[in-house]
Amino acid sequence: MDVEKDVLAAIKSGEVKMRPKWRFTLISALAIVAAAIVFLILVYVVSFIIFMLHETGVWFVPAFGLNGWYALFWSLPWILILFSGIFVILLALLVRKYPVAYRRPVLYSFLAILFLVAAGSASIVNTSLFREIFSAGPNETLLPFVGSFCADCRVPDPGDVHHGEVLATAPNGFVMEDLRNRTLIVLVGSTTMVREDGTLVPGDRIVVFGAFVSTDTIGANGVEQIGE
Amino acid sequence: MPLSNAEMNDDLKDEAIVAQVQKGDADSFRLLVERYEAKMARYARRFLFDGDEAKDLLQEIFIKAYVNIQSFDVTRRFSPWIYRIAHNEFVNAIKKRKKESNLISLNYLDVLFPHPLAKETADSDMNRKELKALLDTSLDKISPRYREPLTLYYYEEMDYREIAEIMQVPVSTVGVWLQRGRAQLRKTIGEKQ
Repeated sequence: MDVEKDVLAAIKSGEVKMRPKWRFTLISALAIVAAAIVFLILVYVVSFIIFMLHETGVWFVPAFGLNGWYALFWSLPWILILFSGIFVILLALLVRKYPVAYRRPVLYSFLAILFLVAAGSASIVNTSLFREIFSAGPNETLLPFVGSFCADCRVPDPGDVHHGEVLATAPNGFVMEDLRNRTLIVLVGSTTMVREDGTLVPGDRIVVFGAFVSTDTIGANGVEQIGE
Repeated sequence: MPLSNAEMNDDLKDEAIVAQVQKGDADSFRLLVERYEAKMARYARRFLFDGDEAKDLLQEIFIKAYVNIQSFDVTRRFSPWIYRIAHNEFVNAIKKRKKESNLISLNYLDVLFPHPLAKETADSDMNRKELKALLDTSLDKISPRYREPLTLYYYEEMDYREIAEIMQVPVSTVGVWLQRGRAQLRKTIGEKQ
């Protein structure tokens, strides 16, 4: 077999044709667009998780020690976290064909992706995007997909975590309104861990960690004053 | 414009020839085939250890190179590009073999974590010749995963960076594979003796 002769004969006869340059340009552009879409979805989902954890107050409970960490663990939206994990792997695979990725260990690609997603999510969480979607309700949002997505993937009921605003204070605790507009009495005892910037006053936003002792009263294990 | 005979000399860079082919001068592709046929044949022989299969794949490599030549960026080096095509062809061929298919699949741990960079030590000529002689007798006993970097390093005389580019793995992984390949070679020779 004469390789040179056979190859050139195949080219000359037209049996083998050169693919046009635009085809490669198009494939490269599609790959970049696909990676960008996956990245944006990832940023959106992660920022949504952070937003929901903030809204429910679960984000703040690790400050109350081991029980706080336990509550955080059981309140995490594991389906969304799994979904995000799959998208991180997908993105790592999409960028793997570029020299900047394959010249380094895969771990570095993962770390770079996580860093960029964290940075992107942090900037989105600080905007009013989710607050507007959240307040509009699932069916009234400008982006229906986003609304139903938010409704279907809520953070699990955080149970002993209550996020809201102080309505009035009393010597043995305070009255608060949570995000579901319920008025709750919070009992603060000597064992309650209170993390506050000065004394609580009506209007302060707080996270209370503790179980219900009656239908509208919480025995607080921990109280944390949070910013706006 | 086709290259004149005077231009068709060894000094003409591969990338310049590719640029001509990209412009439609299919005849210039002959020069690339001439330059790389022997190299690809040697690479195939040492990697695959199957003469008939190697010949079929050789033709396939050049055809794929021609078909996809518009994707080549002439500001980069042509050699790693065509070796990469060959690498893909050979890996696919090995994957089709029942006996060795599991030996070529990528061990993800090798590319997942950083390795302390195994320094590219300049083997002395003597050492290199000795290792080549040992490889000549025992290369077929070495796992295909390590056979390829050994072939590229000792026979094609490429450096770690070039091998990493062809195999699309981190440079440190090439160093690890070469170390393991040499260790496997020593073990094989020890067993023979």
